[in-house]
Amino acid sequence: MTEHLNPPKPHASIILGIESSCDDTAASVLCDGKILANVAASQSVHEQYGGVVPELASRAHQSNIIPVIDQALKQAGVTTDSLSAIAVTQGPGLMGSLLVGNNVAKALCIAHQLPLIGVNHLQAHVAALFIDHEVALPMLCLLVSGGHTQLIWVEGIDQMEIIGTTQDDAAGEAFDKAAKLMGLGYPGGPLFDRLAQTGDPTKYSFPDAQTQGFHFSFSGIKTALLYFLRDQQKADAAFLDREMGHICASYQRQIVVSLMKRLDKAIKERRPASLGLSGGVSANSALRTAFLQMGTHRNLPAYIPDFAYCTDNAAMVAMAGYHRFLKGDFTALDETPYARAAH
Amino acid sequence: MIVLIESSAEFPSVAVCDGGGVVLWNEVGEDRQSHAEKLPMMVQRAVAFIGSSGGAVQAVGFQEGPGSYTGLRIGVSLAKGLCYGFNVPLIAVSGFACLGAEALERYPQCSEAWVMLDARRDEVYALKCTRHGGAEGLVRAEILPSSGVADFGSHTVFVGNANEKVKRLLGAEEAVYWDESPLAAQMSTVAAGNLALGKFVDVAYYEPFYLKDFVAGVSKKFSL
Repeated sequence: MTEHLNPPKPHASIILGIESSCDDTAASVLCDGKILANVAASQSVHEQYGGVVPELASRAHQSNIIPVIDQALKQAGVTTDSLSAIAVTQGPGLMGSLLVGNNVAKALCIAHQLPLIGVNHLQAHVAALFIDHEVALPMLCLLVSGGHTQLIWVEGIDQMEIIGTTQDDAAGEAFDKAAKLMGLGYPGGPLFDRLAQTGDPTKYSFPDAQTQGFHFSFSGIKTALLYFLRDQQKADAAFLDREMGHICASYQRQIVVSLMKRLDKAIKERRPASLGLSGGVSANSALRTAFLQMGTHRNLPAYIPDFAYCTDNAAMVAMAGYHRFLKGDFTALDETPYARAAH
Repeated sequence: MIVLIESSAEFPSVAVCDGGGVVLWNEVGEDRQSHAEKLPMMVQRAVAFIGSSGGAVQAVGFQEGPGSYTGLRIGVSLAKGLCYGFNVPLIAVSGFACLGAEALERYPQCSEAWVMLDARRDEVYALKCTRHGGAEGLVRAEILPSSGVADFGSHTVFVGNANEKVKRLLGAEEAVYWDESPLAAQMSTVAAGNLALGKFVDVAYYEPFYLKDFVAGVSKKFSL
């Protein structure tokens, strides 16, 4: 049995977006498609473990979520009474974390008789590109994050098809694991990027995996780095410290090359009107540069969201939710979060 | 009126009581571990009942645990969302103490009640309640048989969902056994009392009573 809540209030389109799929608790308020507030609380508790601990993430969301929502509403200058709908990341993500955001969202909907909109996290990353841009469609979007690497053919903000995906690790995972291997701590991406800027990206070479179609693979490059470091350090214990910048730059270059190769192949075959780059790894400076160069090279507009909308955020959830709201496409209260992408 | 939410046990339950602790509406989920799917709609029906009876949500009562982490997570998230949405206080209630009190009321010949809920293997979450002293301390984890659980006999009622295990491990043949789990409706008296006393918990930072600290290990080997 499904039960829908009351239809939205006709006079307003103020959407509260909630994101809690991994280790960022975030809330955003969107009015007629414009961001009024975008608040996020990240969790430092995971640093000591070298990765996100799901139970700890769920508990941290539990403490962060009400203050984050409260701050977003106050920044936007609205109250829960004036909301039109609530959009929340329904999945994919960590189940315990998703349950916190989803159930707070449902209770707020119940209290204010609002429609609920469960948003797919990956579609929300694509929606982030629509926040500040008039996107030329169809767009070919490269989505790169800690958990996902996908090439997405975008016909509209809620009309998209995944045409390429990673067969093993995500690009962000390849950065995080390499950083861990090199003792750079967690999350390793930003530090890796900074160190790479001090090195020569052509000094060392790492392999690119052979894949079919527009698919990606990053487990091989990680293993190659592991053996490379092991062999080099056997002969010279100070190798890693001395060559850190060059190794980061070379490894990063190969990941970017792998991504750009598939992107270029897809551009040639599918002929999009524009390009998009989204997801947490889009903050990587080498990737941004290569992506923008690709746009210039192929004479296509190339969009990258503002940094605040690259990593996990609620503005993108609110944006995706806004378009669903306009279509009256709502989520029933008995729909549950989903951990995996194939939903 | 107070919305009462119990989400720690196998079956979710939601109830509505008035300021005097009288239960006006009550629903117990029929499916095991169906909290994520069923609890939001049960809460919605509870709120709709309050609306249709001309009342207002004055507070939300939450069964603090311990119990299923996932269940508690769903329940406390709903409770916090309701409190924030209605701008009302949150009341944390020990469902164990409420169940102990209920057992002593049901079995007047017993002077003490042990509330024991299954915590897998030979372990239970346990709380002792006496007729005159109420709950003794906090709920604790006991591996049965335990020296902490002694002197039971016909004056003892064991209540919970672990009775088969308790009987097998303690061998308390003379004791009374009542198969019952914490239910939202059992919290009404305590929740109404707390509302009258203004005994609330912080809506933003409240955490359920997990009982056991969560210990995460750091992997010693590097795995790709």
